Amino acid sequence: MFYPSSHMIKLAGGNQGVTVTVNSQPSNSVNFFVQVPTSLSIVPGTDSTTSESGCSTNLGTGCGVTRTFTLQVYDQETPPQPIQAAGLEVWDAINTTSPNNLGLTGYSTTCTGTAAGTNNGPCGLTTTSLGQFEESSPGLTVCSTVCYMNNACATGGPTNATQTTHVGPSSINLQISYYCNHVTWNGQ
Amino acid sequence: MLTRIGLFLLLLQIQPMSAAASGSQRPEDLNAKLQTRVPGYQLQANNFVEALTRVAADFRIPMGIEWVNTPAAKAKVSLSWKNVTAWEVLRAVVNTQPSFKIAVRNGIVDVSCPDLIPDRENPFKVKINEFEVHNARVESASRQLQEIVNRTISPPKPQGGRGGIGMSGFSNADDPKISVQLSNATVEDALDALALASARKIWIVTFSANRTLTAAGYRRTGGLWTSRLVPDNEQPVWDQFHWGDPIPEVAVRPN
Repeated sequence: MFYPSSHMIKLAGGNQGVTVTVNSQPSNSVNFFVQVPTSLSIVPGTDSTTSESGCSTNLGTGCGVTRTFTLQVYDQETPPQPIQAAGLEVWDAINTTSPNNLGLTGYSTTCTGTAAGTNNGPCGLTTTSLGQFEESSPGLTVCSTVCYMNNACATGGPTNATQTTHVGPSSINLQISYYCNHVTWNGQ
Repeated sequence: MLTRIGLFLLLLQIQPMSAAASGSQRPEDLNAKLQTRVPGYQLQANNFVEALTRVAADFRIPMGIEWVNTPAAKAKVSLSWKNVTAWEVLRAVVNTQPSFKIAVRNGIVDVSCPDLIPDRENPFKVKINEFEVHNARVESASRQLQEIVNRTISPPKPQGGRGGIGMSGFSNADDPKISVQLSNATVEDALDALALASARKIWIVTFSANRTLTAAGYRRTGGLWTSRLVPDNEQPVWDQFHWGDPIPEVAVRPN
């Protein structure tokens, strides 16, 4: 297996041949398979969501939740195979689509608070040797004043958004729906 | 080849210290590491910061670095020693740069340039009332600290209307979760505490060579992963590395 990273020469995915030439004498071609990060999946047993509770924003008191989980990177094969490679840089960008029923006016993403800034990267986060990373700092979180009515947390939503997750050389688009009391990720 | 063999032998000698370096460490642990004497040590690095982080990684020393992104600091470093301690190596590296100082603070090695960045212009000298994280990844703790410092030095303006924010944030699943609790501490103290508690043992602040201050009166900071100019309302920023992480060359490449 061969895992292209953002620092390496970009190779097409799939089977590739390689030969070594020494003193003008090429060797026989040897095949290797280039895995390209293509999809992400939640690692079973790692998914949890907090109970809806009070929170604060620049707009005042709100309510919301946080959902955390671990993600596995998969390649382009059918069926997709896990890419078990450390060191793939990961970061994300989130943009509202529609509707925006929770009135979200902005996002903080993986590189918020670093020089890269919101919706930019990289900022030093990489996959583990299993090809995994966590959505856990803080996790998929929403805090909206729309969810706080009559001094209590309420239900409401959704605000839909596209999360573009950058994994090594790839960008993977996922759909997020924020509700007052839960968050769905890629339909789950 | 001889250099590689020399480094290999050196790493063999240093290896027994690695286990003691994970998680919190006592001041005497750091002193023991700093006084570790090796028969020989060679150091080649693309710049000052890379040289410091390489020594930190080789000797498993937690370190905070506050440097100014000047041409002098971007010069390659090539040094070698015989019968030398880690402290002597670090002092020699720091002495390659005018105005830099080295000290031990809060159980980590601190490299800074107080003559270039006066305390009153240094946002990392600012005291924060409370900083507390429980069972969190270091990336989450660092983000919380950045929000506190950012709010302290440039409080956000209240806004009207209804709405809210969404968040996400990735972290390394291999790193341990940490707990830190500090009161009335400087930002430097907080970063030191994160370095001691987490697997990211090195924190680096990159000050701009431009002496223009932010609206709040502090020197601007940038990062090593990008040459992007960080807006005042996002200041200050820093980078954190594990021992052995490659130092990105984006911001420290030679002029």
